[in-house]
Amino acid sequence: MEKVAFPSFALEGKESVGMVDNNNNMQKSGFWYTVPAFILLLFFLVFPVFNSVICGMFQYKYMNKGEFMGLKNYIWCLTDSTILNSFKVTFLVTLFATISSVVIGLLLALWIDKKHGLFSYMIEMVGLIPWVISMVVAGILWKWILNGDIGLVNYLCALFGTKTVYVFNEPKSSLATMIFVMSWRTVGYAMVMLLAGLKGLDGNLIEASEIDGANSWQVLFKIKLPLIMTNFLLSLIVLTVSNFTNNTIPRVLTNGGPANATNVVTLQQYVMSFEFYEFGRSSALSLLVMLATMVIIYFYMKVTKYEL
Amino acid sequence: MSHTLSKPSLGSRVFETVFLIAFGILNLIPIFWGILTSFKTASDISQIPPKLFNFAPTFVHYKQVLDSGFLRCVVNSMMYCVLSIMLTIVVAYLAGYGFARRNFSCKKFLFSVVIIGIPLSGGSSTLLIPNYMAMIKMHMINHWYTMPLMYAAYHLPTSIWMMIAGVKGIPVELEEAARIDGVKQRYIITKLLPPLMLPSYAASALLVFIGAWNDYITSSVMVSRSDLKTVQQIIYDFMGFYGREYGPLTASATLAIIPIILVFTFFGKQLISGLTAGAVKG
Amino acid sequence: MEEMMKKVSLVLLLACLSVSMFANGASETQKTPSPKKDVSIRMWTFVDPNANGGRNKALKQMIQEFETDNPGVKIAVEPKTYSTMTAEFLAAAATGSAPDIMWCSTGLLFSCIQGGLLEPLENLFLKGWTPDQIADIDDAFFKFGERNGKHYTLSLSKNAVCLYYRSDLLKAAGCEVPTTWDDLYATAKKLTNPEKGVYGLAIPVAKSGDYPILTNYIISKQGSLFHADGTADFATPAGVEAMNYVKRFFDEGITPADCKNKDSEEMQLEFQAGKFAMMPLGFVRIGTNKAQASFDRTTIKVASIPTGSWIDGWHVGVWSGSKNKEIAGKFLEKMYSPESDLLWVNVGAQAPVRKSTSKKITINDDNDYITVAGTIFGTGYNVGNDKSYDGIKLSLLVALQEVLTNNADPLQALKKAELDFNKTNNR
Repeated sequence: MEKVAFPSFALEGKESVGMVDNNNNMQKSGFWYTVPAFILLLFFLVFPVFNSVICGMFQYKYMNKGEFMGLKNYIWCLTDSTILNSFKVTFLVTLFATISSVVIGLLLALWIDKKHGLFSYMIEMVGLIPWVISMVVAGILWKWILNGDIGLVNYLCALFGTKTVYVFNEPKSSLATMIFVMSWRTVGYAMVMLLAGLKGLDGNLIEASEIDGANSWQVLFKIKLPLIMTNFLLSLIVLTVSNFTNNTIPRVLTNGGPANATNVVTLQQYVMSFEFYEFGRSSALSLLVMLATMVIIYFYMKVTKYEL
Repeated sequence: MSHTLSKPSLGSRVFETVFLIAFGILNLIPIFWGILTSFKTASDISQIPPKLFNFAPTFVHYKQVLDSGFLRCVVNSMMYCVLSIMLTIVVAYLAGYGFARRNFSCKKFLFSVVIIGIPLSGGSSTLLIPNYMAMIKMHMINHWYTMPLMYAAYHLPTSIWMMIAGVKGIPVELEEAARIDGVKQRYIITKLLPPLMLPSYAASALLVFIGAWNDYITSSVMVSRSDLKTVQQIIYDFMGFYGREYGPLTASATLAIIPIILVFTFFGKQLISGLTAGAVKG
Repeated sequence: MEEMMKKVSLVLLLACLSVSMFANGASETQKTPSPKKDVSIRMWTFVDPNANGGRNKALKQMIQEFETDNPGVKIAVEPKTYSTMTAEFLAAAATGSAPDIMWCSTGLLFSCIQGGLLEPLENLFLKGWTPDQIADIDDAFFKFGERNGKHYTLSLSKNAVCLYYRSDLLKAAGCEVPTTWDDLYATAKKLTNPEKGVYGLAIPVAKSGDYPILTNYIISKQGSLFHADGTADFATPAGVEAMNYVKRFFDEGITPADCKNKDSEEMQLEFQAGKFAMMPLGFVRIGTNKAQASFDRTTIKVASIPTGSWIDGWHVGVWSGSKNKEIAGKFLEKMYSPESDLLWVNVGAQAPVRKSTSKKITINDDNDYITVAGTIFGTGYNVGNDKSYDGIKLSLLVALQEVLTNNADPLQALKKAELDFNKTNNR
């Protein structure tokens, strides 16, 4: 446990309280503040996870516990070609969707930063809307809009005088479309987070550096970005996890795409649970997904901790 | 607000504004299409090429949706949201205080449990079935308190993180001074700090609200009584076994967005400042 | 150190308590027997009697009539999501809290019967039926719910994947309703008119599409999709022929390329917009399609897919662990009575579940699908309920997608489908 890097604010309690020496009882009483939270977390998060781990070690069919499999389910998950393909697809999708939303979000944030008043507020609100509306309805509507015949795509193509396009029947375009919709959903969130960070920056610092001769790229990379690193980190974490574990958009949009081209892990997990009723294997898979996201989070925290 | 000394050229200003407007439009396309569809008659809905504005609008789908007990579901969802928010804020605030201001032996371990919980928030399918089986055993399904408990638990990890940062943002000298003045710890927790923690409360409340309002799969499995149905469940009803009815589907989805937009309009500023207060370092 | 030990032991104690509650095993439900005057029968279905809609109102009326005829009995319907409710039933039965009446899905019926979760209807009301009455409901569905001479379910909301077609387009092209595979191809080809944006046949190949074109072709040529032991038998000459048959529709443009990843929902929307002349779809969806048609709705008709339709629907049974089996059985009988059947048809716009009902209905241009229902359901096909047959659709459709999008070799794709299917069903 000692090796895990925590954000520094969680561990600074010792110094900032300033009461390390006296009143040890008060220190220890801190435990009780966290008890209500942990009772809830224990019941609804921790135990189900352990339950999942144990389930993963048995063969389950239709909710009936079968024989003890040990680690066989986990090994199966790591060697089955469909599942490995789904991991590959998930990494691709998450990588591109997250990076594109954060980069575009940053661009937008930098631009809006110079504006103020109603316009900037409205853009922020509009930006957050995709993040807060129901994913299923948004997915269904996008699928409809992007349909070559009955969707707006047809209308627009006709407007521009070109032939209509079909995006869902080819593997590559399916993948690109899914990445687009997932980015669409998260760009606003990244923009808002980064914008708030930018607004919190001290203008004098920027001016001073510009007087010193820094051009806008240097200002951006050497001064602004490092100062909003925490916002950047937080949005990266939240968006990565959200995209990685997103079950809804893939299912509604492409349902695994032509020949498993867009079959992400969460889809595979859903199919294993609710179409094959193999809860043993799907529990093993969900645990692996959880581990993967934890590794990603840990990686982010490690990387940015050194720049803080 | 960060300024630049050099004035950007008109060309780049225009480009930026156009891009921003395009961004705004792109974000709203599905909503626009959904709202448009909700006013079309059933036979106008499926057309090649699609009808943009050349149709006679109708309210028949909205009437159907409202006749199906939609308002009752809105009330139910609201109730779940309010209860979950209250529970989450209280519990997360206490835990956040404990982490931020106290040092106890298993602090690191407990905090890692919180971190581990973050990918699970939002009710991923890892938890669905074990939760379902456990809740059945304890006879806790299909009650009014089923969903608030679950939503609170799912959103605790991120809320705790926000509360920790929020508490850290309040100078500890405030508490020390109060203690020197003889103020009891309970007063500090319940009266002194909360007004200063409002941004974190707002951010956490917003996260829980959005998560609870938009959740479908967990509520569909845990709650099945007609009088306990949520808003998302009734939207999904229109994607039933007998086929998808796009008219009522989009009408109900449109109605379901309204509370979110209202919350944004009135609490937007708090939301944003709270969202980011959790992220700004110390 | 002492403090730490105290806390750790407290947490451990909590943990042990909770683990014992969460243990994977049947729990004892402590029900103190309370002498209730009112009996409450719980039923899980996706038809919510309090909702708006034909079949909802029909069900509500049946419930009201039953409660009037049987004072002291209340039918409590718990509406559930159709796609997961049977799995939930299995979970609930394991913990002793399943509903008294359950609408089981086709795919999971095997597991319900295997696990002894359903009460043989012979023990309840079926023993009192005359042979005539049984003949009235005896069809592929009735047989599907039978095992070892006992019948465990009666099917409601009968469904079958059949061929939807546009009678006006067929008439204009001078075609008859196709009954053989060659007819299907020829008719579809004749009806294809890319200039006007009309295609002869829709074949939805996405994982959630319908698969009867492929499966029925194979069955018509080789008799069954499976070996006697239940392992898949797809990678055969008939299988390859079936793949090539479907591929031909795509190659010749009778089915547009965007169908390669089309699901049923999108296909229906396009059919309603007039893009397709024919499509394979479940019978029960005719109501929605007629309602949303952008053309004259009376031109939407159904017929059987060549060599028969895949039956589906909901198989309603009584939980073997129910405390009120007799009364639950009575209500099931009520939902299946000739009077209720008329309600299902007239108010609920469903196909009749009894053969005698179709004679009592006035047929017009818009509901003539009712007459076809009898034929379709009578000759319907489904794999048996003696084993699990999960994932037929999935494995075959993915194989088809491989062939269509990645130009895979049909035999290789089918071999992989066999492997996937066998793996899923542990064979």
